[in-house]
Amino acid sequence: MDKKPEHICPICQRPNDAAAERCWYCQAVLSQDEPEEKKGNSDWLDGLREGSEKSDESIPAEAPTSSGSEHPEEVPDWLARIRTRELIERENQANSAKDEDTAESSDENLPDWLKEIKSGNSNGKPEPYEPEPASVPPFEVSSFEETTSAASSGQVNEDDTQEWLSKLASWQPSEPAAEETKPSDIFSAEPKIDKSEQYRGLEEKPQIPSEPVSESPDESFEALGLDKAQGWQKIFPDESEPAPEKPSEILETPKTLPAAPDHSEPAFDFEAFRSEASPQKEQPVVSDETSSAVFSGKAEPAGEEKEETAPEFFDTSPFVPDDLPDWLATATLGKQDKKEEVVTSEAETTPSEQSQDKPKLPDWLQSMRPAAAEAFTNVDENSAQISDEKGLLAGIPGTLHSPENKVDFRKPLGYGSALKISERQKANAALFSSMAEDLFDDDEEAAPKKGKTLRIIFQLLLGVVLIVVMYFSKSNLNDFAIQPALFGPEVIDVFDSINAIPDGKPVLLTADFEAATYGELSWSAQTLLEHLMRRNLSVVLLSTDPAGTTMLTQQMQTVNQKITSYDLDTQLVNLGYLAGGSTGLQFLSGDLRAALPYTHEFEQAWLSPNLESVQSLNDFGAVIVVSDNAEHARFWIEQIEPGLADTPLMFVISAQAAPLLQPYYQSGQVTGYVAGFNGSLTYEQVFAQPSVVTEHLSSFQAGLLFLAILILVGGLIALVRPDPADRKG
Amino acid sequence: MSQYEPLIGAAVVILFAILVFLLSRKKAVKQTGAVFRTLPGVKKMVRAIGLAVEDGTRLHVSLGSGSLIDPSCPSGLTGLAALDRIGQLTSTSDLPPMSTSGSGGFQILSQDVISQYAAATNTRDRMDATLAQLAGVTSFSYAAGTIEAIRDSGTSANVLMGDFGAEAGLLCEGAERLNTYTLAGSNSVIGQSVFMALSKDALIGEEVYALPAYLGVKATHQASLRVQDIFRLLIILLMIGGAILKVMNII
Amino acid sequence: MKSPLAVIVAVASGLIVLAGYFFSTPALISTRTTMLDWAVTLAGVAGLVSITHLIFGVHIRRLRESSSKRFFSLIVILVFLATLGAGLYLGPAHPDYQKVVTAVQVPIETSLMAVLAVTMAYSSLRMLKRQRNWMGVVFFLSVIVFLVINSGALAFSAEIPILQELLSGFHQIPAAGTRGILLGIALGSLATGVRILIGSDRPYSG
Repeated sequence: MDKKPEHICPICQRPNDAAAERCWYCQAVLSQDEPEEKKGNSDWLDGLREGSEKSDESIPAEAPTSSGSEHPEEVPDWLARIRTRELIERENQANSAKDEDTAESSDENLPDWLKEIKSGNSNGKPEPYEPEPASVPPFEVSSFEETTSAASSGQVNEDDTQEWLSKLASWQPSEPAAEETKPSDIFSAEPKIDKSEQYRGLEEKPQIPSEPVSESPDESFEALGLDKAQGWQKIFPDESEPAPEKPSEILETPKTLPAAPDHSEPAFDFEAFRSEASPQKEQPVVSDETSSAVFSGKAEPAGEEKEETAPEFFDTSPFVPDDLPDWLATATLGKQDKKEEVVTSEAETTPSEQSQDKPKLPDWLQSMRPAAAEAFTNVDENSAQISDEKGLLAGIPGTLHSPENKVDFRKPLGYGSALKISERQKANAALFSSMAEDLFDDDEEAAPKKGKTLRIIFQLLLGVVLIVVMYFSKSNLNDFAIQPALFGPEVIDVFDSINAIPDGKPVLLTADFEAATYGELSWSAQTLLEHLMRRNLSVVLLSTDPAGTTMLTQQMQTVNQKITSYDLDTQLVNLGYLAGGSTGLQFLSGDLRAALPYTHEFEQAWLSPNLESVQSLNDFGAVIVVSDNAEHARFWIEQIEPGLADTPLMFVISAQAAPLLQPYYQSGQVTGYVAGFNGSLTYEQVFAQPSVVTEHLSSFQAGLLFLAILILVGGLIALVRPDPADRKG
Repeated sequence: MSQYEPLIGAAVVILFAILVFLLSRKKAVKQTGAVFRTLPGVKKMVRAIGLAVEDGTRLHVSLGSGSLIDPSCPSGLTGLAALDRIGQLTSTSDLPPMSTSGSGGFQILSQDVISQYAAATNTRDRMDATLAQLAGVTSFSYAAGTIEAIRDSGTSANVLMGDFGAEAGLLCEGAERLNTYTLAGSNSVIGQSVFMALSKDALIGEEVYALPAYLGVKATHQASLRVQDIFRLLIILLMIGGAILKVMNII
Repeated sequence: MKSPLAVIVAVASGLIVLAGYFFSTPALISTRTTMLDWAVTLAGVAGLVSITHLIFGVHIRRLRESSSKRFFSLIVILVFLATLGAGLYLGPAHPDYQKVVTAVQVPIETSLMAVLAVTMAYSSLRMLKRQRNWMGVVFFLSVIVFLVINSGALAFSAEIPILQELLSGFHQIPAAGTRGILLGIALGSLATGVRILIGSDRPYSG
């Protein structure tokens, strides 16, 4: 397959289709005039890529043209790109292998991870994983180099490589010293990065051009883009005194980072600290600058007793001894796990290589970087140093230090379902119940009983007094009874109406009251019945109550004892009980004979000579209703009165119903009525026949006046002096 | 009776029914929510219902001595609606409500209502034939029998809603002696005056017929109460207009 | 579950009777009359059923229970049976049988009325304690005024025209208030009846 011309993206340096206008990966605009090859790029990674590309180019194209006799298969663009990238990677690996061979001699001082990167890209052959020997100093041999494994071969994605390389570029350490430097005990105290498989990619050596590494600390800091006034140097600016320089000990940082502000003074004077550091083993505070300085140093054999001798680079503590707290001054460094040695790749790289490998971020990426990006990168360094030694995140850089959970996670205690009461709670509950008992004692139960007894006694007393007053008044105060001066017109009309009843016409007398009001109504109706008997009018009895006719018959018999000329057997017809209440009245109004076919003795009612001429209610001389209920009186008015033409409708009612009947009298629907004691008294006076009512007038008046006075006095007392014993139900 | 009176009566009944039907629909209830004035007696009764449920005591509903075929029966039917609602509200109480009446028709209906809400609330096992009693066939014998029924049943609150006359005084006195709460209402003016003097809380006039609406029995109860108010206003206007016309000698 | 048949019967019966009242056609009148007869008969039968339930459902059950009221329930049952037997044998018009009413029922209920009078007098004394509002005060004052008026002690007012007119006015006040209450009661009764007619209120079940 012919290799299609490609566009290399100027931003991410990835190949794109020639016809593409934008980069497939980063969507950058692809310039048509842009040569395939990269422009002069000072990125140290480019150097690595170039080497690999050369090797890729040497590798003949494969696979798609395996079947040359066949027509070339039409491959989609995306697949073509993937294949092209694969070829490029292979070429890079081949080139990197070549470069590694050629630069092997000069790469002795490179950090192990960088070496591994180079070997991974060039050879593509996995290096067998060899466990780190115990005596190997941490910075002498790159632990990354030793942990190359089969996983790194052929599986390295160029994209991933570029990503981590770019990250690494941001925290390029200073160039290692030309001579081997003894790693300090500090390094051994630093957290080690776990050489797990996930970090195989880190083992690839980045393809960076070899550039001379600056030997001045200033340049190292400039390359790092670090401000020498950051970190602890900011806090202790006077402490960074220049120390006697030891060229062999001066750590030079590689110029692998973008340009940093020029610092006239070194950011950190290792010489000064080296001379002032105590022989005690002190664990320095790892800061951004010191870490870079640290990482620029070489590793020492881990097997050495670092506690005894201070390393050449960090013989002394980076802090002024007097300023260290006692606990820190007396702290000792523990032995490190050789397998977990921190890979300080920056310290292992040679200055020349680091200067060549000095990364230069593209402009677009640099502009995106925040101002405090260094802090984050340095934080990565710090976190890499303080990564967990134990736990799930052990050896993983850039992770937060997990808290030491010393809490023993056990099953929570179960309290059970039973109520557990302590002795103190029991005592409190008993005290509370005793207090409540004092408040709600039995006396309160006795109070209602007392109230009930008093109530009964007072009511009995009231009844007895009332009876005594009325009895006494009847016998002694009869002469003082006040006779009515005026007669009510309703009573006069009743009298006149009865007087006007034609002879021979029967009168319908209806009992619509209960036994409870028989006493009152018997007195009220007595004079009227007497009047009817004196006129020798036939009376037809009817009752809407089961016991009404019985009571009315008894009343008639009582009156008949006074007027013996009246023959009840011939003049009185008892039609009995009319069922249905108001419905029966409606029936009565519609068909009288059908409503009451039989008498009280179950005889044919309408065969009686008194009822022969009666066909309807209109044939009666008068309809007189004796009632104690105003509602029932209204039923009679509503149901019966419309069917009455000239027949008067009159009532003998209880005093309680009189006000309700008055409008009907005033409207003419009721001819007249005798209401209660006063009405019957008036009727007796009009009839000029004193009867039982006149005899009991004094009792009646005395009783009413007594009650009125009693209620007035009691009401005033209740109004002025409220009863505190009153309680609601 | 005038020939137009039946037609006017029919028109009034039909119009009333139509308005009740229209105002009881969900849409009408949502759009024009009914707002009724507060009846202190009803509020206390609702509280008494709750207290009775908490105490495990009984509620007693008395339907009066009116007959089912009398014009006074609507007050008894109101009491039946209250009994139904109280039965639903006290379904969780230890003692189901009790009903007493003074006529056979209301006694049978109250039994029916009790069995209805017992089936609805799944409390048939607690129902008893004695929960609906005929206390007496006359007014005063009914009052005496009702007092005896209240005394024996563990009642804490009474609802007297029906046709009551002067015998209501005995009922109120007996209830007060037993230290029970009483909410009373009657269609009779005499009964209302007695309740006014003797009971703890009394419903006067048409408040008796508003009780089911306040208890929230059905939407139609509230709708009919609103229609009542409309008709009351119409009657007032007619009366005032008729009086003015009479004064002006037009009619 | 309520039976629709009961609702149909109830609504149809009410509508027929109402229509027979409003529209006086012979068919409707005869139908209404017949149905009213049935209603009256049913009301009587319902009364008999209720009395039977009272005796055999309540009082006999009390006999089985260990209660202090067992003795009184026994008396009720015995008296009931005796009265029923005498009425069936003698008839309601027999003078001896009528003594049951005149010698037993009348004295008992008259006594209850007397007790009511004393009870209401006692309650009137404490009325202001229960209702300390303007309505209670007006009620209290009206009780006293009408007790005095009805006693006849103000008979001398006939000679004083102003006092006579004042007393006549007092007699009119209850009538005016009663009319307003009766109007409201009539509207409420109409509403209750309409709810029964449209089937909304169903105190019966199928």
